Amino acid sequence: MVHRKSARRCLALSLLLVAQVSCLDEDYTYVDDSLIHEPRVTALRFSVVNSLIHDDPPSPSDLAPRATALPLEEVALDVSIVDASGPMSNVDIATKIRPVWLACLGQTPSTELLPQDPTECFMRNMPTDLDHISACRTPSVAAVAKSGVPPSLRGICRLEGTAEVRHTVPIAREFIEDGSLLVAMIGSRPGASSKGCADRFLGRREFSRTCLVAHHKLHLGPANRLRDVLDAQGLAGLKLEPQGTDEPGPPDRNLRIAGFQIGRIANVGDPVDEVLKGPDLVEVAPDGRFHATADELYVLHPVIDARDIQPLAADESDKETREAWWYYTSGSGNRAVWSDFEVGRWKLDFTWSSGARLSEARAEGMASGLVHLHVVVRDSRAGVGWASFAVEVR
Amino acid sequence: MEDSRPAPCQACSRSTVHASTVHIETHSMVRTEARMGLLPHADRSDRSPSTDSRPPHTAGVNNPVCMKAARPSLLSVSDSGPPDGRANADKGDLVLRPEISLSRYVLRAPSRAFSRCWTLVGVCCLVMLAHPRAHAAVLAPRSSASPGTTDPSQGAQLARVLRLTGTVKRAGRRTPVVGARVTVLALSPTGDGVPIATETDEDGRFEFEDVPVGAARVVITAPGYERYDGEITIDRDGSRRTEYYLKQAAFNPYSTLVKTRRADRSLHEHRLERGEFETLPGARGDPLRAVQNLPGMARGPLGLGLLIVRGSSPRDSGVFLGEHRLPRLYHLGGYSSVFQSNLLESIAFTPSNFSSRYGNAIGGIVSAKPRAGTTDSGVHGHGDFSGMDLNARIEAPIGKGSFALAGRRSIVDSIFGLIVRLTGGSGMPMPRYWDYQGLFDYPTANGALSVRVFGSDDRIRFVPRRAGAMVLQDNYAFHRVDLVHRARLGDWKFLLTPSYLRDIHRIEMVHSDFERREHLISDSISMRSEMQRTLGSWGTATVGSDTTFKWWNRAFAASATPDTYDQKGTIATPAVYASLRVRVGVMGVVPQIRYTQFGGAVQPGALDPRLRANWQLTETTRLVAGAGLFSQSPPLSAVTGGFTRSTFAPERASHFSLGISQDLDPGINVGISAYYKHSWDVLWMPRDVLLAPETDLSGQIPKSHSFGRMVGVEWMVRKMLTRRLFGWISYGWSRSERRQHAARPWELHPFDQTHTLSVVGGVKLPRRYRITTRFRFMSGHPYTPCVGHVFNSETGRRDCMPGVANSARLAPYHQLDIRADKTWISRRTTKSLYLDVTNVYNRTNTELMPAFGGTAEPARLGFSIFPTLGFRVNF
Repeated sequence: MVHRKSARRCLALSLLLVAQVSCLDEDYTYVDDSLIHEPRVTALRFSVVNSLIHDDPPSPSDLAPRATALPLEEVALDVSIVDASGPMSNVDIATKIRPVWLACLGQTPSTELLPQDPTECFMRNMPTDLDHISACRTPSVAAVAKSGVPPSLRGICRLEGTAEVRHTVPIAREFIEDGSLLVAMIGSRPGASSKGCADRFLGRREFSRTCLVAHHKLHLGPANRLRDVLDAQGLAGLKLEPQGTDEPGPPDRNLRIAGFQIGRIANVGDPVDEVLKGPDLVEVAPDGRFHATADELYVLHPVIDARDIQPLAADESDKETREAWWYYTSGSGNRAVWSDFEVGRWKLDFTWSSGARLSEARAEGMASGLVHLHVVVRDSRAGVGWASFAVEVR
Repeated sequence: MEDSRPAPCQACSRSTVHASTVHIETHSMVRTEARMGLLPHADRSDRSPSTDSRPPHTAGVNNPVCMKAARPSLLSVSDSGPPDGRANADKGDLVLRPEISLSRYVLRAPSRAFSRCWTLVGVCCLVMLAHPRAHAAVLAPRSSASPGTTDPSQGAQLARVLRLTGTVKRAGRRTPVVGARVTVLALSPTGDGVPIATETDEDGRFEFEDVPVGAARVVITAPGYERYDGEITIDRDGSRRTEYYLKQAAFNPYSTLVKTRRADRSLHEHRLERGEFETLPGARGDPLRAVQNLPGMARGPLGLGLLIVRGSSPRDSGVFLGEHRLPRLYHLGGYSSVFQSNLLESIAFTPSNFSSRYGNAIGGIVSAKPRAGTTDSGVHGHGDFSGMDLNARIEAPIGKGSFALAGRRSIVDSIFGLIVRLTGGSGMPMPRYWDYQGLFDYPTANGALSVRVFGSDDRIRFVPRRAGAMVLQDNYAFHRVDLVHRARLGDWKFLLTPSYLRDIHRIEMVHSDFERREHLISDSISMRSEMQRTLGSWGTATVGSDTTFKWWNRAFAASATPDTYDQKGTIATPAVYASLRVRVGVMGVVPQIRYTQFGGAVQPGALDPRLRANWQLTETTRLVAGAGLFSQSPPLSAVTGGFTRSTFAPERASHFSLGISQDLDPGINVGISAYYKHSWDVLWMPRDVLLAPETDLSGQIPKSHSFGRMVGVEWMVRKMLTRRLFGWISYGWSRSERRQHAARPWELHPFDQTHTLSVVGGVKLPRRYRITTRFRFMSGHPYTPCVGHVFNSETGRRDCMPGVANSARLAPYHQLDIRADKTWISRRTTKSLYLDVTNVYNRTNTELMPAFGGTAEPARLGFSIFPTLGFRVNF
């Protein structure tokens, strides 16, 4: 994604002949968002909690939940918010951030060269006052079966819940045809109300200083099982637009981070692979703690539960991307995101130092004390996972 | 404003000067002959010198009798006679008398010494008044031939008579000077020379049958040229043929006056003629760029050269070259136009209410008319080298016809590439462009046949330093062939012109693990046929058809997505039009109508009635008005299936305009126009700002129900400030709004510019230096501000969320450009060295950053100071 983003911008700049602007490196769009000093949304995630797919043979029960859903399935939507004291618990989120949730159907498909603003879906659909937005409806199978076609539910509705939301995916024409449902979380920082933030967001008024806004898409999937699910629900006669010809494959699941591997290097640029295989490697569990020496360089690597990894053929590595986004409350890091696949493994490692060895511009905070590091891993199949650990700097 | 006032030296003519025919240039560039001393004073002029408002020295500059406009230069090239005329004089054939010397001295007075001139004029007049015979010895014939006539037989009294022929050409260009006055004064042994005179024909030739043998003076004058004064010797051995080269006057004020009148001819249209091209300020030597300085034209972002006419989108306006549409007017970046301007006859800019001859546009029209190649003998052309590009032209007659070939290739890309390599700096993508033109014109029995072949190719390529990073390339190109046949039969005029056009747009992105290629290629055959009949003195009727067949192919392939396609289709767009030009007294009315059947997915057709009227209120005041309907097809990328809609309505607009033109004083003209436009059924492009209409927008779902409204007032003052200063000031106020559908509020159009001020001017300095300058002040472009950051959980990035569309505005734009030229004229060539400096005081204007990735932040991306040094040779 980074490549494409840079490419678009470079092409645009080229077209516009901005000769004084260079855009050589693929990471020139990099913005240091990795340093956390106030509440920040780092990820949203859908998880199917009531699957209507009955695998044959059944999927192992210890696999991560699916990230894509089919109509009439129940999904859970949770959010990862971190602040200077580390990840916020659901209780903290519910009391301090007080999020409200909106869903929108009928979003304009994005384009390659001109990406559509995802929030356009909310802007285009009146009303612009939170109080005038009705709650999302629970689909009635009987009514749908009676009409014979999926109903159109274009527009926005409000989802009930705070830190975690549960919702039954509607059987709507927009969801089936567009393939996604957009959900936005609108929260507030101290001194503001979530309703006020929602009204500002919907009215396109300034909201950055006091509000937290994030959105995520729930994708339809696996598409090749759609008819099976509808048939199972008594909607065999439902008329659908021709669906895509997705080849049958494993369901797209979220990612679970089993732990972290931590190694020390002497200098930036030292071979990381050897460190991660070496005897001095330290493993830390999620929410665990690690003791570090001030100003040393550490290589951090998230370990993803192998059972959740989607099997890929040897020649399919270029069809999937995987990114690890790192956040920290103090110190400096070399890059915020990794997305390389190299020599049979995903290079999601990250180099961090409690001091300013990696970037003076990114160094902030104390040289000793407790530092929280947080990682979010995404793959190109809608899978999301996150985990944190603490570093005690001596 | 024609002014046939004789020059102040007419005071000399109070005496009884005999038969000396002189040529006096007039303000209207119409030559007036005043036979000195033969016409009653009232006949020469109804204005006495005392009532002449012009400064005496001002009028005197161009009076060839009084003095030369500049230092005389003997530039004869070929001479079949004896090389040294003075040798004959030494033989005693001729004896120069003192009176003649006095007269010569007066005639050769340097133009810069005005006071000296008037002193000499006074001496001259006194001599003539006090000694009529002395005067007669200078100019009058001895014979008793009636005064005021040129009597060739008088020369026979002096010696044998021989034939003198010659050609008068323009120095540097070698084009014939038509209508030049050639006066030969035989320098007889007795000192009683007899002046004989004639005019050059359309080939610049002149001929004297009976020139006395011996020395003679030759004086040649022509409007717009420096006076020539030299001597020749007519040998006894035979006739003589000579070529004379006249230098174009460094400054001809009269032509500017004529321009001013022409400019107010119609407030509907701003027209630039070929004669104005070279001196047009603010054009960087490219008059097609000067269109951007005219009222009604807003500035496009980043100097891209987009045609933003009265608040319309660039794609709403059309560019026509000859009789057919041009895909684009400027090369990428807007540095130069795609057609060499020195092959153009005229450029017309019509910001609204354009003729029914033109369709498929709801904004404005720019129409450029190619010229025919030279029919003068010899080969002509030019070569031009600058820091931006290299261009050349060659033209010559072929039989009765002519041809012209021209080409241009950018070098700025090579220069910048070299800089990048040498400095190891960042990649600076610069455009590579080239264009070519080939014109052939040949007269037929009742008209003319023209063949035009031309094209353009633009490519911008970004190759990063780091191996394996993304390589980007964008390529625009077109090639066109026109065949034009015009014929005239009695009161009928006929036009038949087929044209073929291939238009290509390719985009490529290549990475080590990612590849994306797409193109949109179309082939079009256009046919325009037109008949026009003159209906006596009161009107003209025109009917015509304008049909285009287009075959298009669009393809897309990318390695990371299965959404590839390869689509093909055809579109036929026939149109018919008619107009009737009626003039009744001081009123002129032009009702017009056009019907266009848009093809493809655009339905139904559109009937566009239009009306233009003008009223000459007084001799100096003129009122014009216009109203009409206009229509166009949505972009090709929409109607060729890239969108999910199946049919589109034609985009429509109505135009209303009212203007008044007033001559305040000779040399000053003020034109004021007010307009209102309303558009509907316009395709709604959420992110169409900044991007050319050819941009691929496949995948978006357009809404073709949007509305637009534009209102504005423009005024323009053109004034010849002084004899050496010229220029104009134009100002426009406008507001352009649109809305997606009737239920949505109006929002500012992305190309709205409230204030547009252009001050362009030039000064002609001695020794053929010229400085032109342009200053522009414009309101900043509207943009959509970022009201907050929204975390996109799918990408992990925080995107800027746009606020109310176009609710913020960038800082005003202003910039000063200066160009300095120095020209040397020799007999066969004209050489110019120029320095063009853009953004002289290095203002960093804030330009709009496109809303990629959800951001809508403006960025300071303006061009810095940019000097360009160039050299040009005309021959």
